[in-house]
Amino acid sequence: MNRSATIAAIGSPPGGGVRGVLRVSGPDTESLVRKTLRGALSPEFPKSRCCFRAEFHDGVGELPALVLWMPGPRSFTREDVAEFHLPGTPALLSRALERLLELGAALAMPGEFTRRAFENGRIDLTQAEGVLELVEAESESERKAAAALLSGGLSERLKPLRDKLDDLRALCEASLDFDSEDTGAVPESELLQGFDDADAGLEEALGFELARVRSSGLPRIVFAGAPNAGKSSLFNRLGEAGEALVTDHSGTTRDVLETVWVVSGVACELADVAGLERGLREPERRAQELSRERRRGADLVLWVVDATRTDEEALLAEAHELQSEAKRLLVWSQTDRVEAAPEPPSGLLAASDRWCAVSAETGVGLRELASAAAKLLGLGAESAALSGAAADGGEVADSFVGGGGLARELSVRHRASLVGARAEIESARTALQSGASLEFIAEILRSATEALDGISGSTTSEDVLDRIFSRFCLGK
Amino acid sequence: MTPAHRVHCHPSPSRHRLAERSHDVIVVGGGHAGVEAALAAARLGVDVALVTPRLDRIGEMSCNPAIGGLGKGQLAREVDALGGVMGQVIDKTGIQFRMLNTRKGYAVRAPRAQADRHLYREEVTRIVESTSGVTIIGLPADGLIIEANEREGGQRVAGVILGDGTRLLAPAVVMTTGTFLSAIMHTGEEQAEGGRVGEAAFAGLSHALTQLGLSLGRLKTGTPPRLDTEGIDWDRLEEQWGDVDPQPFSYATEDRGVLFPTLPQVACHITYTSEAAHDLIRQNIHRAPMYAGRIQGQGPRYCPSVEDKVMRFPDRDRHQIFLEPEGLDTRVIYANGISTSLPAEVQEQFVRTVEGLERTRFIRHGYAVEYDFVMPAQLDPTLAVSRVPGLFLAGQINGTSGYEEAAAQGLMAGANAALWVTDRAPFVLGRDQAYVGVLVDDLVVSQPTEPYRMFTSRAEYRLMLRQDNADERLTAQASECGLVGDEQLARMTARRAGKDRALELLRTTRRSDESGNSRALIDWLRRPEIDFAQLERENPELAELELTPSQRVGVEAEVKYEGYVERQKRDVDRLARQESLLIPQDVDFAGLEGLSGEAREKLASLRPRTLGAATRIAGVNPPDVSLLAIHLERRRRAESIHAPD
Repeated sequence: MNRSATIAAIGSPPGGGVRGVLRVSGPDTESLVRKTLRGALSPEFPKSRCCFRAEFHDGVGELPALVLWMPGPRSFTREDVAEFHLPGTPALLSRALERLLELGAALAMPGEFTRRAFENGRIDLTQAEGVLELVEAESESERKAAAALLSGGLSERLKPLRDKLDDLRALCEASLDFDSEDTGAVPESELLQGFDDADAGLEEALGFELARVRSSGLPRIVFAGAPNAGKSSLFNRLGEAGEALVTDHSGTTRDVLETVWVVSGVACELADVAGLERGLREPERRAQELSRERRRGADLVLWVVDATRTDEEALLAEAHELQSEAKRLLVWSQTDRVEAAPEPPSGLLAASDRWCAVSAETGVGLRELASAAAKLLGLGAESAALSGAAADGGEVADSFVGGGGLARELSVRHRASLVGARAEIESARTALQSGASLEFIAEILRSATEALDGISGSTTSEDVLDRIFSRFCLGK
Repeated sequence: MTPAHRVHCHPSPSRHRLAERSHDVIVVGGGHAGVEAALAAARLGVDVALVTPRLDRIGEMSCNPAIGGLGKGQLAREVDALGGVMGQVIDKTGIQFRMLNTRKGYAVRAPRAQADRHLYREEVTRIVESTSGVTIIGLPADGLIIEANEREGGQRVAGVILGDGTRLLAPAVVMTTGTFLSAIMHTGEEQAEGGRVGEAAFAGLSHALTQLGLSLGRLKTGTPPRLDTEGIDWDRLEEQWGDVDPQPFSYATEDRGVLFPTLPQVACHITYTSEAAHDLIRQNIHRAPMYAGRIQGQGPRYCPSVEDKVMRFPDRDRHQIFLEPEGLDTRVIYANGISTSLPAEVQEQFVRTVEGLERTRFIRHGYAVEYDFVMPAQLDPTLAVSRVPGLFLAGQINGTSGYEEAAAQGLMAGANAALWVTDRAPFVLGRDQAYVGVLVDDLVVSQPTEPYRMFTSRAEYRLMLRQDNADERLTAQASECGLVGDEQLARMTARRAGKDRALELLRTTRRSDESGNSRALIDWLRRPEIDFAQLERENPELAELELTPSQRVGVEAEVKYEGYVERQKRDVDRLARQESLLIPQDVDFAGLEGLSGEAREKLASLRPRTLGAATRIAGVNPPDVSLLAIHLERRRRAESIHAPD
């Protein structure tokens, strides 16, 4: 791979859409942008990100373009990056890409933008593993799993955890390596509180990781919708697990629950998440983040709307809130209730790919729901026929076969590390409470950090010493 | 852990120009590193010249009159187990012995002793003078004799040019020049050339090293004022005595049943700085060389000057001062804790605000020393400079601090120089074997920004590397290569046998517990509140074994640490492959795709020799190590396919 080459590729999904995106990265980005654009351009491009309108000249004609200019190093690849947002017609996009190649850009290899981001230190190991998955992804579902990993969910969680463990160890080491006149005694309560915090963090990270690739390789379907729209009732009705707690209070679901839903003979992963809400406090905000992450990695979003609602504007805002590239199936729910409208307003229909009316209570419309989901996931009659009698989810359709291996393997490793670190914290607590000396606590904390180090980053004894020296004045 | 025979990158000179050498090994410097280097080389049977400008400064304690301390005490015990003299000398010349951290675990306990620094120096000098095979030459070294390396290309060291112009030839030179390379001493606005009061700096040697293409750095260290005992109001100060039952540093002292301690024991005293002192320091801070920008070198954070303490920790209202006597027949008191390079009059003013020191008289003012050191990443694990065959470095020249760190390196460098010139396998210790191993291994991938000092937290296998078992970890190995004699080995074996007998008794003797259940003594000992001494009192058969204190502690530690030590041993095994996987010296890190920018830069400049060493470089993270491992594996496969025609 030629590192200094400027690369270009179509960044939007194949098949066309309203808009298509051409992405360019590398040292010649600015000159390529200048060569392709018509119109008054400032003599010097700004040093910070900006966005402007221009005409893209593809050698034949001109296309209206929205240009995103992201100079390095503050770009995804740390190189100069430009994105052309053009009309989404495939033929036009291909022509525009050809133009960039004619002007000297190289066609980007699969995953090359992300690989550059990794090589240039823009993303870390867990994110880079997302890259690996992405580059080697054999199926769309894997691409989605990789996308979830790339979002940095795990590494964001690891950083504060490692800081916490390093702080705790520095506290112990300071007392072991220096006179207690300088460092004071280590209060047991501070250590115990630290263990609690670390354990809670680990548990949360583990939950995230479990949810992320629990059944990677299966089509991923996620619920969305306002609190109390009936997501959990539907989840229990559709899924095999039937474990979501359903009440009349809104916001009951805070964790991500998962089950398997067989659609057209294909086992799909169905996740129930917290309803869409705004302006919340922890831990509700955390739940919202989890839901967003799940939607980002999903193949299909089931947008559940209570059919008794009449506030169309609020519902449209909700559609906007979904922030997912996945196909969207509007589920007109709770139609068994008397005041329910027979069909959704047209604005909602426009914001969705398909719709169907259901009642989790009576079971009306569930068959139609499955069929609509199958169509949107591309699980046609053929695949249903292929799997034949094996409607128990034992087989999956071709487009989802063979996937998940890599993602699953990585996830197993991550989880083993997290579980290992948790076990260490637990034994540190036990050791401390049974009166073990601090050198053991330090030793156990070192092991816990090592377990996390298996996932990303590393701590050297210098790092710990730095913490000691920043906190204590040490003499003799 | 490193396969010994693969460490040397240059052929031994043993079959080369033998006729021309005047010595086998030349040691430049007579400090703690130089002395152990010369003695270790002599124990290995080679002819050694020790070159030092001051015959009256061999074994000098330039700074604090003490040996040992946390991390350092372990090093001193290891030097003793490897046949070094530091332990025996301090046992004979110590005037206060304390085991530190006794209320914490066995692994972080360490001996520390105050020395009579004059007697210490005299004893070291006596030993060096009486060692056959060591010739002492009382002249400064002005430069190195460099020759073209005919066999391998490049340059090699062939000897030392002395102050009177004499050319002293030897195929190996161990440089242990401490703080004397281009040294400048600072007291306030005053500057003087020199590495120690009254002694000159060596600019010639710095120059010689630069000419060899070595990269040098600059560090700073400091020393506190020396006060006259006469003016100190001792009665008002808190006393600090040594242990009631003091323990020696050397296994030999313990085994031979010689009188210990030899010298009368004395107390140290403790006092504190005050807000008045802090105010004075703050008012004059612009006159401190570090703050006025006159010193570029970085000082140690673990031993900060009093001005650093006051400026960095403004909420501390006092700092401890230990008043340590420098000997039995001297009026000099070392004021530990107030290292300073403030102007002389400011030092006097602030010291006189301290309780008990109001009428004190200064014998010498504190000062800072700035000096050159050689970036230690240029060393191989035998402490030889990788690119210059025959040149070995030890002590502060490598960016370290402390007598014990110096002695440990000196011993290893001297031994390896002797082994190399006689074409024997090198002597290298792993991180799982000794603090000495941790020290050398850390050094060869470090870029010190402050003098490197040992801490127990640097040793990941700390629970195994205890001061009580240094002999079992090292003496047999040292004996195999000839560093220690049969007598020392036999004593170690006897000590182990004693511990084994005790363990056997502990396993076979049973006593009933509170509820009448019969339990083996070893299970009793596993309880946190029970120690070996208590079992000895209750079980005469144990007492009859007459274990020494270090054996008792050893048995206790082995029983109480069992599970943890097992676990650390498993870690050692697990990481063994990574630790010893060699990184070929021609690996092009810059061209290795996927490394983070920082890792690429660090690996290229520090050039770790093993994958294990690479993992310990700050900024090199597990993904980088994985990439490196994959690269090495690919390369290995490629090489095995394209085997040489």
